Amino acid sequence: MSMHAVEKAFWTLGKDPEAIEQFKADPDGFLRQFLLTDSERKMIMENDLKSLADQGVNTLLTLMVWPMLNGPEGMPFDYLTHMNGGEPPAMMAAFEQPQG
Amino acid sequence: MAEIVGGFIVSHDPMITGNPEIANKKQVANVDAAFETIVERLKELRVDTVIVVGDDHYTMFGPHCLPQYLIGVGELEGPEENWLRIERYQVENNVPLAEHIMNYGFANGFDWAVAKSLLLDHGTMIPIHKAITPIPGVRTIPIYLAAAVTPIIPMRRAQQLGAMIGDAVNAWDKDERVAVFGCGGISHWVGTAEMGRVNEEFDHMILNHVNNGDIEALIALGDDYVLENGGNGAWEIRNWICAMAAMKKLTGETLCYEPMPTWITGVGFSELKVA
Repeated sequence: MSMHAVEKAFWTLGKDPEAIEQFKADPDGFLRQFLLTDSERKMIMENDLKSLADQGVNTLLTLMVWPMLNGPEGMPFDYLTHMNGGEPPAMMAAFEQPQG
Repeated sequence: MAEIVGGFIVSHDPMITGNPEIANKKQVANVDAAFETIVERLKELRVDTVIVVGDDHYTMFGPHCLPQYLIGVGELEGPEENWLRIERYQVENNVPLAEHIMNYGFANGFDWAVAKSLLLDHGTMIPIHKAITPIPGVRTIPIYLAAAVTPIIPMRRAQQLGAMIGDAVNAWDKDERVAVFGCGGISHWVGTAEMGRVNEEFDHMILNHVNNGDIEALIALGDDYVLENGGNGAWEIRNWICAMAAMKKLTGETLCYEPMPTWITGVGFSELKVA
């Protein structure tokens, strides 16, 4: 079980701005710093945070790294659509109501 | 002789300062009014020091070190997060009392993790900034429980820790009027598919247990039930349990409850009164 290593990789991405640039320049090379399985490395490189969360990766971290990997535009809806398997999240309705 | 003269359940939703615009304005005003009430009550109670029980969000601590419970005994500053719209500043600790609580714990079976300097995240810094900083001279002792990052501290251990903290304060031979904050909650799903869901029925049940001073009812819920009905964020009620246990006998009074899906949380505040 190396989900701990996924958390280490994600936490590093969140704490070190240079790590994001390293990841974007060479994802496989960056991830090989960590003791990840081939499956875990593939899920990260394919942006499959839902599967990683389903396997126990802390969702504080998946929530944190999504905008780093995909850009902050569309947060949190794009992230939540991904986490809901492609379905728009129920919480969008709250944002469509007037907040006056 | 030191004594705990009161306590509060305090939301630490980072949106309180980080993004108030996205929420219903009336609800935001009610939350701000709750903080103002806490400030006034701390003044009325002539509180010198607040023990603030919160939790990290993979912000302060990392996979390399995840303390079950930690006390900050020295230099404090916060917040860690630059998106809270709070400029980072020094927070005054009560070092002698913090060290006394630390040592009392060591002597009574509680092997604290200890921080001689600590950069506080929103888990304590929102309550500090909104309710303590406005009162000059009131000092803060931060305590962090593992509530958002697994392995989380068992609720029973949080209760035992709180009871020890209460004993430690009572054993302090200096005059000190102490309050405790239990920070966080109530229902919220952080980063999961359900994020934005608020379970009002669950939240009211939790607040009722708080107001009855019924720590055992909160512990009896169990982490699986809390996760299912209140989300991973509701595991933060162990911070509340710790604060309540420090007070021994108490009754509570809800100051504010607002279900706020755009803030992804059921936001609750209660005053804990010594019974």
